[in-house]
Amino acid sequence: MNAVEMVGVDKSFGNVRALDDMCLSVPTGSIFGLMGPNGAGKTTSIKLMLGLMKPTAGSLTVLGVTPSGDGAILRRRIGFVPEDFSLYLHMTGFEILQFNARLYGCLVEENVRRLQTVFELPLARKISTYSKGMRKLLGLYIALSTEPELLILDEPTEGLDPVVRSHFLGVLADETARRNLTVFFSSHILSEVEKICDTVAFMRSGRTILQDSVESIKERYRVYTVRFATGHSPRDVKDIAVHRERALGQDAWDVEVLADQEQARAAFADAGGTVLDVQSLPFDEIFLRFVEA
Amino acid sequence: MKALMWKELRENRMKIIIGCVLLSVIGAAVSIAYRFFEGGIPGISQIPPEYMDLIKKLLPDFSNVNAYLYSQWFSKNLQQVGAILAVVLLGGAVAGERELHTAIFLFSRPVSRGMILASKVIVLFGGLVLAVLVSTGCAVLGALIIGKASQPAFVLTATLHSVVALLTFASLATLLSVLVPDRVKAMLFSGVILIALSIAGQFKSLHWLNPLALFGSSDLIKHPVPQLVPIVVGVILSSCMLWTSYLILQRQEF
Repeated sequence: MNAVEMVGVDKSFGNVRALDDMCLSVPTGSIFGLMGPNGAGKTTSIKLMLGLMKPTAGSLTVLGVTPSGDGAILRRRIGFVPEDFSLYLHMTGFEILQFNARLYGCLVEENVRRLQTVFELPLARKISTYSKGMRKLLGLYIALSTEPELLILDEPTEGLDPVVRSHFLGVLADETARRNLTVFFSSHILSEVEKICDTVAFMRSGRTILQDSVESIKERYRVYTVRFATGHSPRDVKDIAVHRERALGQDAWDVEVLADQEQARAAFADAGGTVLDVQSLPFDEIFLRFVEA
Repeated sequence: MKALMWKELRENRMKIIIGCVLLSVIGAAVSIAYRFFEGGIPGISQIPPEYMDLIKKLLPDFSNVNAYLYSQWFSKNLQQVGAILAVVLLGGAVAGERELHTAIFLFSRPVSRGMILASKVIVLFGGLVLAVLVSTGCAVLGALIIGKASQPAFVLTATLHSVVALLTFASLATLLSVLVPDRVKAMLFSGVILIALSIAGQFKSLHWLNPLALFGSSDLIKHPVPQLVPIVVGVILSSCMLWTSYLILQRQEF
């Protein structure tokens, strides 16, 4: 069963369409990365999952349940770290953790102690004295301390220094390994997505343009240098989607496709092309190819 | 629910304490000042008799301590400062969460929106009622200090009317706090609506609009029994506004 399933979800704000036929499947127990440029609809997708917003159309289930504004039972199973993480500044770190624990109806001391061995956050201090990075970390404490089944993180590492970011990602990986936790992760930082995510989805203009495992994307996205017979061009290629083409000379092209190599070679051959060279691209370059297309 | 109420109390304790202290000081000062007015307003005998008839209609009734407390405490200082306190306490209830961006955190916790609203209303309404009771107690105590005992039935009835009226004002502020995502604007709009209705209510044809009528009429001095109409109207208005606030909050997106 998938932890999150979005099928044909639309979300409009007046005339602005934030999500347009959005489809997404987050496998249970995976670390899932949602990537896209600013305004792609990542935060809107997360708010829909939490029941903070309602979809205009389409179907959405989270942990097998349809989220709604009063979905308190569902939210008990979710830990969430928002992008713009504002907390009650008059509380101390301990107080907000206790407040959160009481809302979830659980004990958090053991989990907080485990996190403290890694981060040593000054929990006795008021949140108003915390830096942006410390607040983000406190957000992770809050989200993980209640042992959720699904952890939703919206740009969680923004503002963290590289060392803390590395520990942060380590804790996520440990928690996922320790129990059957699903992590839904939205980020601009491609290196960390590549490092920890099993599956990723690329978003552009409110829709998913690609969803696959990181390894599969890196394995399948290739730049083929192809020489086409006279009268043929990349436009003759069928069965595989050409993402980008660039003429190198009169009959040679660089053609970028996301496909199995055998399939790609067969498609080029059918279109009168001969593959001269095959190159791979770094993950961040592949991402840019998709979102800039 | 307890955790939410604790958070509300923690956040608003200073407002409630300041409101209680301020109203209590005013209450005690107003009733102690009665010793200066007991024999009539100083200097009033020097007013020429031809103007006296006209002025008499405008003068408050200071003939006994109950009449004095009614005119100077229940329908003046408590009414005005209490209304401000109601608007300040409730105007920021939900609007404050949105303005300070804590709404995303709060509304993504495993509690229903109804529970969140209810905890705010219970704590803040409680704080308002506490301020009314404590300050009215101080007003009564002040009168006792100068040797004037007010009639308990009158004090209880006037306090009941004040509580109902101020809770109605607080319900209006709650509604605006849900509608307007900015604390100051929510408070200002609530204040403007109350002032506009009070002004409109001064005209005979629009007298029914006057929200100050919820505090009961001066008949309370002679007949200290609850006046049914203002109390029923106040309770119905409050219930409607709170229910509307709940329905709007249920539909809102964060």
